[in-house]
Amino acid sequence: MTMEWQDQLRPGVALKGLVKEATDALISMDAERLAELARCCADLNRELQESGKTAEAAMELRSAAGDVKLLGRVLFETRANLVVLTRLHLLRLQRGKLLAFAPQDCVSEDGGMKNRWKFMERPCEYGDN
Amino acid sequence: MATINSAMSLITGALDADQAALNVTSNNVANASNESYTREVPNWAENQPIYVNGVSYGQGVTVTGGVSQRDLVLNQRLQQQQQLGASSSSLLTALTSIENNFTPASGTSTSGDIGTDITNFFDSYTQLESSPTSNSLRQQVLSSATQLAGDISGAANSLNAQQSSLDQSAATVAVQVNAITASLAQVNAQIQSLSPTSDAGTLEDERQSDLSQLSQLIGINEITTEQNGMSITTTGGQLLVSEGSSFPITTGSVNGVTHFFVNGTDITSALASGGGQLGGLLTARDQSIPTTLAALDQLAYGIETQVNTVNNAGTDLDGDNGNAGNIFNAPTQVTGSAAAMSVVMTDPNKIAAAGSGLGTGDDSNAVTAANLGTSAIINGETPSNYYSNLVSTLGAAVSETTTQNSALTASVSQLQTQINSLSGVSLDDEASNLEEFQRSYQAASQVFTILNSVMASALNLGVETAVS
Repeated sequence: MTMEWQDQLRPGVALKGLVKEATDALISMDAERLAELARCCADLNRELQESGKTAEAAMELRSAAGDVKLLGRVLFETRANLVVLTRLHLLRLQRGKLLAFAPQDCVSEDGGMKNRWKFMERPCEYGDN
Repeated sequence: MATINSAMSLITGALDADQAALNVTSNNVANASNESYTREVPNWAENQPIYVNGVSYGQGVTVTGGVSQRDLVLNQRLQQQQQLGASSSSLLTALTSIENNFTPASGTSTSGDIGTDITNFFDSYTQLESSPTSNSLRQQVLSSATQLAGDISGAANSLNAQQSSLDQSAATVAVQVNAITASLAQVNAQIQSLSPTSDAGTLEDERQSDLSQLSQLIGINEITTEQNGMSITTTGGQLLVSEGSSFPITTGSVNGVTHFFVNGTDITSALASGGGQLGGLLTARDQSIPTTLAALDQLAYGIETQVNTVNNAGTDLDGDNGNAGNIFNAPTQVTGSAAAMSVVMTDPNKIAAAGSGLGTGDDSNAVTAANLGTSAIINGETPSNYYSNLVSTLGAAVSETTTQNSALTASVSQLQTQINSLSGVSLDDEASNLEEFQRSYQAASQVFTILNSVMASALNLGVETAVS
């Protein structure tokens, strides 16, 4: 796949297509495809630096400004989604550890904690954290 | 004129800010067992306590278990994105309609093309210079003036009609919101009565369904209360549901425009920025259309007053000096000038092509009128440039909203995929899934960083890469 992109080292074609591909792959969370695109982008950038055609590439990027902007926005939203999901996963992990250490009679049938164990979870106060 | 570099900087800045947010989050991870963690999630964080009849709501959030809490938080995140998506979607629809007012009609007709009308009108004066007494050229000045006035007033009237339509749509949405909040209050009461300490099952599903529908209509915050209860506020903090009670949004006319109230408080402006369909409708009604109309009014007022002034300063074909009369109706104020713009002159002989005190064959006043087209008579800009900026600004708003809408749609898609893939999986599978998500983000960030690097290299070479 990298070679395919290297064959298209005409800045306008490669850069614009790459931005769109990256956005689509990010939406579908295709990490493998994105990793390929990142390598291609690095190759492309290196080629541009060596050929001195960065100004030309930048001019071509102008036509893809909307696509670049969209990629940035999707990145921003993705990051926020990732933060939420990561924190919830860590919460689950921590709860799993709590349950593992809890006395058996404190664990209810549905896997939750009975009242005796709930002292661990004090009601939050406004301004906590 | 913005450059692509400045656009990049904006995006990069946003990512930097988000990086800072992530750093904060990593500190919060240590407190993950603290049930107040939901307070830290953007947009529903740091809610001030709400007091209803002296009772405080918004504190003492109860965690009902890891899995259900995860579902609640994910649903809230999804709802938050849906609220913003619904807002940008309805705003985009409205902005596209507004923009269509300034799109030339198809075919060869110039109807609706105000930019061409402006050029044609001042060009007609240029042509009159060559033969100041020509009746056909004088008729041409009046007909091009009529075309210009008709298209400007047509666009203004269309904008006013769209504003009325949005007003009605917003009022309809408020009725829908009230129906859902009443339903939510009822479900809340049932849940608190039947399942105060355990999963409410289908009732909880019903509540989530209501919340999802509500999120499409209006920006909301959810606050879990004791005994599986829930309070719902607007994003501006106005209470809509407090456990088993709902507080309907009422409407009233203020200066001919529908305003929205809860318990007597006018929440219209807060709703506009709050998200949901209602937010988008009100943003278009109260910001986008008034801004566009104001610019159109300024354009109409400037052309009318300046052209009338010049005509009354010259000599017409009947020999009247300084008393030729107005070509356009004389506006008394800027506001409303566009909608009321019309041509009042019917006799082409009354066009004052000659200068003051000069013979009727003179063209100096026609030259002065023609020069208005290239003079900075509208807020420091020529009429054509002013109009061009108006259309460009509108186009930029449509483009920006389109991007925002696409990004939010993408985000909702990601969240739904994650929610589906995380449902009922083991912690190990969940970790693997998140790792894939993280890798996707990092690789995409790398792509973006390199693009930024290309731009930086180009700028170091002194290449200006302006984007419209």
